[in-house]
This record gives sequence, structure tokens and C-alpha cells, in this order.
Amino acid sequence: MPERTFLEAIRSALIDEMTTDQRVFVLGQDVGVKGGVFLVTDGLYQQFGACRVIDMPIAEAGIVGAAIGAALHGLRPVAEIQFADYIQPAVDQIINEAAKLRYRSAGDWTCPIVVRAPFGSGIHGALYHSQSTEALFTSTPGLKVVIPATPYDAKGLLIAAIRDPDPVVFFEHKQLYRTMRGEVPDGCYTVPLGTAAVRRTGRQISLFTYGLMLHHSLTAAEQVADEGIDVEVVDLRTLYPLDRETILASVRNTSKALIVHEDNLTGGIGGEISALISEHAFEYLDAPVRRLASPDVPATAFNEALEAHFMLNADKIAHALRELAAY
Amino acid sequence: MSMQTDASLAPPPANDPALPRHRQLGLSDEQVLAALAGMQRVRNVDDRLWQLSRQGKAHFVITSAGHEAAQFGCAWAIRAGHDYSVPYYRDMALALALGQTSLDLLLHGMGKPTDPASGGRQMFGHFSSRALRIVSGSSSVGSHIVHAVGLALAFRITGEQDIAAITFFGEGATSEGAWHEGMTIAGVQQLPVVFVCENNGYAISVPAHREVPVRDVATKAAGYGMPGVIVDGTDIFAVYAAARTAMQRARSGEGPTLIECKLHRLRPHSNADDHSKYRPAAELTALAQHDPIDKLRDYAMQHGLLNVERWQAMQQQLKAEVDAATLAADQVPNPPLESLYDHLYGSAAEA
Amino acid sequence: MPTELKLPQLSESLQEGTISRWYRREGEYVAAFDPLLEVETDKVTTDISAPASGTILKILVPEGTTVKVGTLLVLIGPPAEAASPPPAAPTPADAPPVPAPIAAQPSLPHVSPVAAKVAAELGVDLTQVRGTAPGGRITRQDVLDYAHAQQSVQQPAPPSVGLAPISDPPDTFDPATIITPAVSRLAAQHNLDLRLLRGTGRGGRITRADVLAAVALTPPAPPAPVAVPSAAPPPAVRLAAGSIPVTGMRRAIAVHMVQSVATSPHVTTVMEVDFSAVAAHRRAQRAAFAARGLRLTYTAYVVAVVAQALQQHPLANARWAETEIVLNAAVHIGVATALDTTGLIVPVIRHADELSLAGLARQIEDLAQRARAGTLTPEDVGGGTFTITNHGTSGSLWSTPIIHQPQSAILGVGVIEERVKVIGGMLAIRPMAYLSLSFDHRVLDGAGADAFLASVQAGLAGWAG
Repeated sequence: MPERTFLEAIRSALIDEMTTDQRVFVLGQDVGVKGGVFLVTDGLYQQFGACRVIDMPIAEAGIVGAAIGAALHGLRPVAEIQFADYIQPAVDQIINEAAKLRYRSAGDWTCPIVVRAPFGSGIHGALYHSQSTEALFTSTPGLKVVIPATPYDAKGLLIAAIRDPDPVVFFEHKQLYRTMRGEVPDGCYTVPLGTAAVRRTGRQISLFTYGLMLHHSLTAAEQVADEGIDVEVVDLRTLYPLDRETILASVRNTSKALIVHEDNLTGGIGGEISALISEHAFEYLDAPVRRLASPDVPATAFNEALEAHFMLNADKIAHALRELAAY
Repeated sequence: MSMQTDASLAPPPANDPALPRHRQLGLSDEQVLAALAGMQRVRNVDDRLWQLSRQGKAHFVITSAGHEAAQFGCAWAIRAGHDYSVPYYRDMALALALGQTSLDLLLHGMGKPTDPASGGRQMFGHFSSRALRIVSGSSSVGSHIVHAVGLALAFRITGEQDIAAITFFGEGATSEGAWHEGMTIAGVQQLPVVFVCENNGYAISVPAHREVPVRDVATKAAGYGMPGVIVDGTDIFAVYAAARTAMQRARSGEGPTLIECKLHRLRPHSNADDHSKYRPAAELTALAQHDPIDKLRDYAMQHGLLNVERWQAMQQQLKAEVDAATLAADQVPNPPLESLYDHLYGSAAEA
Repeated sequence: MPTELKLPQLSESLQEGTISRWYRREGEYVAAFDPLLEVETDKVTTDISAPASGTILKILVPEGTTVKVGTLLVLIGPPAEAASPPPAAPTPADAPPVPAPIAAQPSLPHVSPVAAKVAAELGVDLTQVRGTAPGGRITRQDVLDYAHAQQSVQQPAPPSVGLAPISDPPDTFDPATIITPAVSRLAAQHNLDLRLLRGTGRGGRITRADVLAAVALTPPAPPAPVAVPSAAPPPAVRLAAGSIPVTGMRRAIAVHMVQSVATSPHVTTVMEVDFSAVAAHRRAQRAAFAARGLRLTYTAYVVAVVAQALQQHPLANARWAETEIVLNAAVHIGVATALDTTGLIVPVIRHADELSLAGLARQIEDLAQRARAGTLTPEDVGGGTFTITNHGTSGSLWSTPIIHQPQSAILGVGVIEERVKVIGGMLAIRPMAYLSLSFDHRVLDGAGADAFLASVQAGLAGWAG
């Protein structure tokens, strides 16, 4: 099986799906001749032409809105927002339009679009090239929010998202693009939306996370394993709708839960998971549910030291695990 | 009496200037009478919805009174079920002109489960029918413009010819970012889409001179690389001429057009509004002169298409029709409560 | 003609059992095969299903009462029409509406963390508080009501009672008084008195692991000698003046311990063992075992080595019978083992000497799974010829375990931890543990016991697969 970077896996998904399905096209800023600012769509313009790889004006609402319009005519658009920080101008289109089209027309219209957006810190992106904006969308029925953590999942989940009959917001962690490699098959395959993956089994603490934080969490789990702390690590993969069964089954088994995300603490998905656990697994708890998240400041600072201080890492996660184990 | 800012968009020259205007445009007497009946039908539904709102049977009414000629005029240029129409909340007359019925509109206004627009989910004014290619919209002003642009982009991608999208909005929407973005994309790509502004001079209570920085919305078109046209929106023939030209341009690959229909809102914005609070009394008194139904009725009588007896008979028949439709809509029971959760997500099978 | 239900013979040796819980009240409808009551013996706690559908006419044995096998427990009347309860039955006036005859889940008395905290603050003995929430759970309000009633009797109108703030920040909790939902639930499930535990969590908090270890380390007791009615109390919070009702299990343990110590002259001998070889083998084999669906634990190794050593040292697998020493032909090893969620069991691995490491692992896993599924039988926990107790799970180095009569010895395994050892004149860090063997000096002498223990030590230290 060929090995690909996370970025190549996403590109491979786009190429394979565009080859298989003529309805699929991509649109966004700089996605054409340049191949995207991260080069995710590099070569697609040459392979599929200007008609299916469309350079758009700097108009996020226009990009997503145009995708919605094309989907109404039966196409399968994949819109790229250059950075998740700039998805805000398109929020009305995603939440008020795409997410509600099926519901508001009682199933007469559907809106199968994918909105891709690179997110996350750690590349000196400062306030406006670093944000985690997934929580904007994780309380929107009608929408699906997907965040892959491995190259294999990145391709399989993206193809599943394109084929899904409903709108999907697909966040890609920028730090994974070139640092994460893994086996990624040629050709189309899907990883089902809405299902979490247990990446490491354990008996003492359930750790729920996604994206880049999965890898830091797995490292942390190995660190504390030597100290006799047995951690189960669950990769959520789809943040909305959540895989409640997997989350609850895990915490009923371990009795302790830690949620790790790069998004801000307040209003992040961790709060929802914590509420879910206290509602449905209260009597299994042997400690308060803990969240480890980025501090409640707008985003990481440009200053290197402050950026490092802002970022979560394996040591910080290991520390939280030790604290929870000692409770 | 159309006013073009672009001379190339003048209606086709009349074969015989002596002919009535509808004949010059290739419209039959029957088409004119059907439009008149349709406009009156919509007005009756409008009236009925206001009545129902006071009985607590319709919780929201938004009027199309005064806009009927603009919407019926455009509808003549649209092939319903082929071209896509992306309307806004003021377009009840358009929905009816494109094929929806009084009953459809009353079911929508009363929020019934058989409401074809939304199954009772959307408040009144969100017209939709996939069969007629009337696209469902939200209540976010201006956000639907980009959907029409996206549809036009889809025709470009699939290579389909002889098809266009047309979208409607008030002059208030032209302040919205999404409107600007949609116009920009359409202009850059020269897409097969027509933009119709129904300028009634008010964004709810704010008069046009406080919301639009130029006298004519049509002049904004120049900034987006497309022609802008001004027409009298109470003159159904002027609107039709402009819309027909614009749709033909779009379908033949000549790019987008912005049409500004200048007209008057005859009633308050909605049943929750009192326009005497912000419109001068003299203006309100003068509104009766701008009723597009009166205009078309007078035209029909002048040209011998209609007489007083026939007009009265038509009105009686239309009243009986709306009464029957009201009764039928009122009898539709509420949906099962579990249906609240229907149509949230599709199944993998439909993909 | 009502259907009778008598206490069945749950295992060959069973003479009596304690009715620990009725899932249905008099007047309620029960469907055939629905759980009707919970019976606790010294070996297992098990549900007994209704023999027929119908209304519960009369419950003859109240909760907490110990009765002989064959005692009539309940009378069940003719089934009701459709699913509704028949009104003809002697329904108590205060009987709640009868639910549809679906399988009842045993509801256990719990105490929420805040109720435990308030009880500790007010000095309320939770065993005296009646829980009003579903399943008899004790709420914060129950504690306040109880305290208020007490203080009303004892001293007039104390202003502080009932005014405890709801949302104290967590740091005002005395950690030792915190009862988490998981601990409360497990303690109730196993009828464990939390006052008898010492917490190993932060600030002395009783952890879920503490509860599991406590139940695991409770040796299986012989048949309970006398029938003593005793109510099953909800978990208590901290030591308070007053008396503690003795549960059936507690009494059985007490009797067994006194009897064992009085019967056998106990001697405990301790050796240290190097687990390096076992750890290395386990590391190497764990994945392969996992691929076969098996969880490879240290316990499997200890059982394997003990089973072999018992064959070389039959006196450790024997029992004193006054006129003779009976050598057991079979090697049946009981292991106190904590489970993941449902609590723990003391399963007996039959013919442990005939099983490979994989067989032992499978047996241990199978027993664990069936315990989780609630399908263990009394036979699964009886008939052992030797017992192993993993007191190391609670951090203990070595112990003086008490022999499970009528066996002749019991092996305690202390915590496995890295210690500095001198090997060949060099300092080395090795995973070490103490093995504590208590033996009956009537059967074994020091040298024989040490020889057996040395065999175990050698088997583990020199593990070669």
C-alpha cells in the first residue's frame, strides 16, 4: 500500500472522486493554477480543467453559496475556505442555508456539499491563520462536522463526505499536512461518518480527542502507561453528530474521562461530551470529567514563546492524565 | 414605457406600432387575461391571509400587493420547471405565476403539513417547489443571490445550454455582502443569471435614500460588469420585455443582467407592521394610483379584452375559489408530532 | 391456586441464603422469567426469576433475612388480563402503579457526591437515611431532611440545617468524604461497607479501584453458620459514633476468619521474586494473545507456576482431616480477580495444572466475561484446593493472608514494582514482588512450605514459556 502524507491523502481523495464522478468539482481561492496555498489541489487544474477546478474571488459567502447553488442542480461541489479563520463570512451560508435546505423544504431539496478548511495552530499563523472554528458548527442539526487525524481517514472520510447526501464541514489540521504520513490505498474507499475510532484500548481513563491532538494524546498515553496508568484513546473523527455509543461505552468501562481539544475550553465540544457523560453515565464516574483545551484567548500569538505556551502537547496531556489518575 | 440604461436592451421593435402593446410583444389576449386573473387571485389570497392572521390561523403574512405586475411579467420570461427561479419573501405572485395554486399558498400560510413549500416548517413567504424549480430560501436577506449564481455556475460546468437562473430581491438586499459577492462572481464568470430588484422604496421602514447610496439600483450593475436596466415595475409589459431580453442573453451565453423594477408596496411590510408610522400620509393616499392590477384591468378594458360584467364575474369566481381553498386548507390536520424530526438527514441510499 | 417459589438449591453445598432484594412489591405484576429477587449466599449473589406470570400475592421473607433452602419465599397469583395488573390481589394501598411487565433492572441504593458531602458535614450516618429517589438513592435533600428531623428532636430549630449551599467549590470537600457515583454504585452492588475501607486516592478518597480490590480480597467464606436477619445498609461515609448493622456477607467473613485462625496454626513465609522473565515474555506474547482475543495477565503466569509447583509439593494442595492428611488429586486454584466494570469475582480455575498459559488466560477471560454477563454459577466459585490473592493491586508489598478453609495454604502476591537489586556485583533495576505464603503448620512445616514457595519463585524468575 503506498505511503502518503496527510495532504497527499486529501489530494488523492479529490482526484479519485473527481475521476469517478463527473459531478464533483472544487472551488475556492487559489485552488486552480496555484494549486491552493497549501498545494492540496496541486495538479488538479491541469488534470480536470478550469471548469471543474475553479479559482474564485475572495468571497467566502460567495464560494459556499455558489457551491450550494450548484448542489441544487445535482452537482457535488467541494468548496475550499483558505483558512478556517475565514469561514466566518460563510457561516450564514453554511448554517442558515446548507444545513437547513433539506429540513426547510421537507426533503424536496437537498444540499450535498463539502466545505474544506485548514485549521489549527503551530505554524506561526498567529490570530488569523490558527483558529479552531469547529465549535461554530457543532450545534447545527442538518450539518456534519468531520475532522480526520490520519492520512487513511483523511482520504476515506473526505470521499464519504463528498458522497454524503448532506452538507459536511471538513476541517484539516495544518500541522498534519506534511508531518503525518501513513498508508493510503489507491482508488476510492470510504470511512463512515459519525463513527469514532478507539485508537488505544485502556481500562482506567477514557481520553476523547480528534485531529492533531490525537497524536499528542497517544504519545501521552504511552508516557503514562509506564507509570501504570492505562488510558483508552478515542478518536472522535465526526464531531457532529457525535458517536454517543462509543463515548458512553468507553467511559462506562473506565469510569474517568478526559477530553482534549485545541479549540478554546469554553464552548468547545468538550463541554458537550462532558454533559453527555454526566447525563448518561453519571453512576459510572469515579472522578469529575476533565477537559484539557486551549486557553480562552482568541488564538495563538505570533510570538514564539507565547505560541508554544498556548499549544497543547503530549507533556501537558500526560500531566492531566496523571492528575486524573491520582484523583 | 420602459426606461433602458442600455439601448441595446430595447424590446424587439414592434411589427406594427398600431397594435396593442401585448400583441407587439407576442402575447395573446388570453395570456393577458390569465395574468390579470392570476394577479387578482394572488391579491385575494393576500387579503385572506391577513384575515386569517387576525383569526389566529395564519401567524405571519408578508404582502406582495403592488408587486404583482413585476412578478407576473418576469414569469412570462421563465420556463417553469426548466429555468431556476430563486425568489425572496415578497414573491407570492411569482410562485403562483409559475404554477403554484391558491391552495398551495394558503397551506403554506397556515403552516400545514401538506404545504408544498416546506411542510409547515417555514413561516409564510418562503416559496419553494423543486418540480417548478422554485428554490427554497431562508429569511436571511440577500443570501439566496449566490445560490442563483451557483446554479448558473453548474450550467457552465455541465455544459448545458439554453437554461438560466433568475433571482429576485428588494433594494434593501443590495446592501448585503452576499449580494455583492454574488454579483461579483456572476460578473467575473459572465454566468447565465438574471438579477431582478423589486425596488419598492422601503426596507421595512427605512426609505431608499437611506439604504441605497445611488438613485437607481440599476446603476450598481456597472461595477459588476453587467448591464443594468430600469423598468416601471407596475407595467407588466415593460417588465416582460426587459426580463425576456435578459433571459435570452443569459441562455445564449451573453452573461448576466440586473433589472430594477420600480414599484410601490401597497401594504405594510407584514402583519406585524404599521406603515402609517413611517410613510407620509400623502404617499399612502397616493398608493391607490400605483396598483398594477388596476393598471392591467384598465388596459384590458381599453383594448376590448374585458368589460365590466366579465370583470365582475371573474372577481366572483376568484372569490369563490379562495373561499374553497381556505376551507380545504383549514381542514388539513396538524402533522404527527414525531414528524418534527423528519428530513434532518438523508440516507446513504439517496446519494 | 397461587404459584409458590421456594429458595432453590443454588449449589451443591448451599444450605441457606439471604434475601438481599425484592425487585417487585406485593400487589405488583411480574412476568415469568423476569428477575424477582436477589439472593446472596456466601459464594454468589444471584437473581432468581419468577416461576410464573402473575400478581405478587404475598412476600413471606423480607429483605435481609437468611433462610434455609426450601423455605417458601413468595406466592404469585393468577396472571392478570392483558398487561394490566389484576385488582383482586391484596394490593397495599400505597403500591405504586404497576409498570408494564418488562424485565426489571435491579435498582441499587446510591448516594450522590454532594449528598455524601452534606452528610459528612452534618455528621449524618447515611445508613439511617431513607433514600427517596428512584431505586432508593439518597439525595442531598434526604440528608437535609433527616438532619433536620434529628435536630428538631434533639435541639430546637438549628438555623444552619437545610441551608448548606448547593454549589460549594470542590476544594471545600474533604477528599476522604467524597463518594463518587462509581464507588457508590459498586459498593451498593457488592453490599460493601465503605467505612471499612481506607482510600488510596487523593487525600484518602476511596477510589473505584479501592472498592474493586476490597471485594477481590475478601476471601470466599464457608457456608454461613446461622441465619441472622440483617438489613443491607446503604454505603456509609465516615466513622461516626453509633453502631453498624452487620450484613450477611460481613458476618460470614467474620465467622470464617475466626474459624480459620482458630483452626489452623498459621505461619507466613515471604520470598521475593524477579518478574523480569515473565514481563519480557508477556511483552513479547501480549500482541499474539490479543490477536486470539486473549488478555495476557500476570495472574495467568502465577496460576501456571503455582499449578506446577503444587504437583511437586502435594502437601500445599492438601487438607487436615484429624486422622489423616487428605491429598487432593485435582488442582483447583481460586483467584481473587478484579473486573472492569461489574465488580469482581473469586473464580476457581479447575484443573489449572492441565492448562497451558493460553488455556489459563482463556479460562480467566471466560470467567471474567461470564461474570460481566452475570452468568456465573455457584459452581464457578466453589471447590478450590488452593487460593491466590493479589493484594498487590492495592499497593501492598506483603501480607499474612488467612487460609481459605479447609485448604492448607494461600499465596499472596504483592505489588510488582521496580527495585534496585544487586546482581553479580552490579546494581540492576528489576521488576520485583514479594510472595507471601500462609500455611497450615499442621500440614506443612517451614521447610516444606519454603520449598514449595521456592518452586514458585524459581518458576516465575526462570520463566521460559
